[in-house]
Amino acid sequence: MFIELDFQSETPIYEQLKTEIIVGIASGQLTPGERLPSVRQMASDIGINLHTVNKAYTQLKEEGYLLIHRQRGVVVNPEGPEAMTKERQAQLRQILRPLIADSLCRQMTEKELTTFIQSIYDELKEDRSK
Amino acid sequence: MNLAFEHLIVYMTLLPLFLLSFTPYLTKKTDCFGVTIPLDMYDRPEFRKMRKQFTFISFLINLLILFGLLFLQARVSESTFMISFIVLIFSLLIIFFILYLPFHQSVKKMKKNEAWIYNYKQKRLIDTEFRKANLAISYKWYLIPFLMIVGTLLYSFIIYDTIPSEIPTHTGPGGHVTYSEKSMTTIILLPIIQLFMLAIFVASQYAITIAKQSLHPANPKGSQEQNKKFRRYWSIFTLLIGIATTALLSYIQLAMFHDFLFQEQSKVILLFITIVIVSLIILSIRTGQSGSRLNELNSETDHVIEVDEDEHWILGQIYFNRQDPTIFVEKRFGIGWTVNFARPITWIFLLILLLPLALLIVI
Repeated sequence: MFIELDFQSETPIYEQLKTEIIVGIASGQLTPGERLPSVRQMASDIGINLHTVNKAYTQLKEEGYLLIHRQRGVVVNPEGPEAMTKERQAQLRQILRPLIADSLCRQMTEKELTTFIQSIYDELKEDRSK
Repeated sequence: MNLAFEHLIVYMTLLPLFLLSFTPYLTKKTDCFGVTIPLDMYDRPEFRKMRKQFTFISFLINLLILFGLLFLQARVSESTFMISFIVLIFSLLIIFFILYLPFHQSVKKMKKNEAWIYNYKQKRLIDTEFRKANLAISYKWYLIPFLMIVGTLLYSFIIYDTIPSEIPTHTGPGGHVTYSEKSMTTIILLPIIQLFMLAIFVASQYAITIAKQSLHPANPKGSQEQNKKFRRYWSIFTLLIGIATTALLSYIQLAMFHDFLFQEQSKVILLFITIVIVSLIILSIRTGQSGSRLNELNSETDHVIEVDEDEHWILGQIYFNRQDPTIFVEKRFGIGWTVNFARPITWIFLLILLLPLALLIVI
C-alpha cells in the first residue's frame, strides 16, 4: 500500500501515519496478518525520527489495529480492534458533533450530509472490492 | 607489461569520465543540478540549455585531457606519464565539480526568485510492500566468488612447495618484471584483498536493499516500478562485477606460479577493465538514476512535488540531515547512492572502507 504524508500539514506526521494505516485496513489495502515495515525501515524511508513511527505503531497496537512481535515484526492484527462499544460511540459522537454543527451552519441539508457520509463509506468499500 | 596494453588501460579509464559529461541526462528528471524541481519543469528551455552547456563544456575538457595525454605519451618517460595521468584524472574530477557549481547556483536562484515551490504540495510517498519484492538478488550468489577465493587459497597452499623460491609479483614500466622471495605473506596477500572486496560487494548489495525509497507522488506506480527495476539491475551488475573482480585477482595469484598465465596477464587485465567499463556505461545509459530512463514518467497528478530537501543537500551533492535516520540515499547528480553524513554510522562505514586502503599504501 502507498502511504502519502504531507509534511506541510498542521496534522502531526504520526497522526497522518496512523490515519493512513487505519484507512488502509478499512479499505482492505492492508490485509489481516500483513507485515508492515519495521520501525527503523519505515522511519528511514519517510525520513523522520524513529520515535515518530514508534509512537504511531504503539498507539495502533493499543487500539488493536497492529500486533508487534519480537520476531515477526509489525503485522496487521487479524482480529482487528474490538467492535464498536458504547464508550467509543460516545467518543465518536463528540468528534463528529461539532463538525456536523459546522456543516449545518453552512447550509448543508440533511440529504447532502447523508450522501456525503455515504460517499466516504463507498470510497472505502470500493477500494476493498478491488 | 606490454607498453601498448598499459596505454590502452589508461585510455580505457578515461571512458567513464566521458560518461560523467552526460550526468545531467542520466539523473532523475526531478533533480536539476542538485536542486529539486517539479516533474513537469524538466523540459523548460532554460534547463534544456543548461544541460546542453554542461555536457558540451565538460566533453570539451575531456577531449583536451585526452589529447594532452596523447601528447605526453610520446614525449615523457613512462613513469612521468603514469603520474601525470593520475594527477589529470583527479584534477578533472575537481574541474567537473567547479563547472557544476554555477549551474547549481543558478537553478537554486531561479527556484527562489520564481517561488514556484509554493504552487506545489509537498508529499512524501512510500510503499509499505516495497521490500517484499526481490529488490536485490539473493546473497547466496556470493558463494560463487567466496568459493573461488577458498579454491585459490587451497591451490596456493598445495602448490607452495613445488614453486621456485622467487615469484614474479609486479610488472614495472617498460615491461620490467620484479621478483619477490616467496613467503606465506606473498601467497595470502591477494586472497585477503579478495575477501575485503567481497565484503564491499556484499555491503553494496545490502545498501541497495535498504536505501531510502524515492517514489514520486505525481506518479506512484510508475516511479515505484522504475525504482525497483533500477535496484534489481544494479544488484545483478554488482554481483557480476564481484565475480569478475574475484576471478581477475585469482588469475593474478595463479599467474605467480604459472608462467604461461603470467605471459597473458596484461591482456586479461585489459579485457577485464574493458568489460567492466563498457557494461557500466551501457547500464548507466539504459537505466539512468533511479531507473529514470527505463520508461517515460508522466505527471498523473498536477501540483505535487516530493518533499523539498534542498536545505539538507550541501551544494546539492552532500546529504546531511540529522532528522533522517536513513544511511543510504540516492545521489542527486549522478547514478547510484550516497550516504547521510549526519549519521555517525556513516563515518564508521567510511573508516572501515578507508582503513585497509590506507594500510595498503603505508605498507
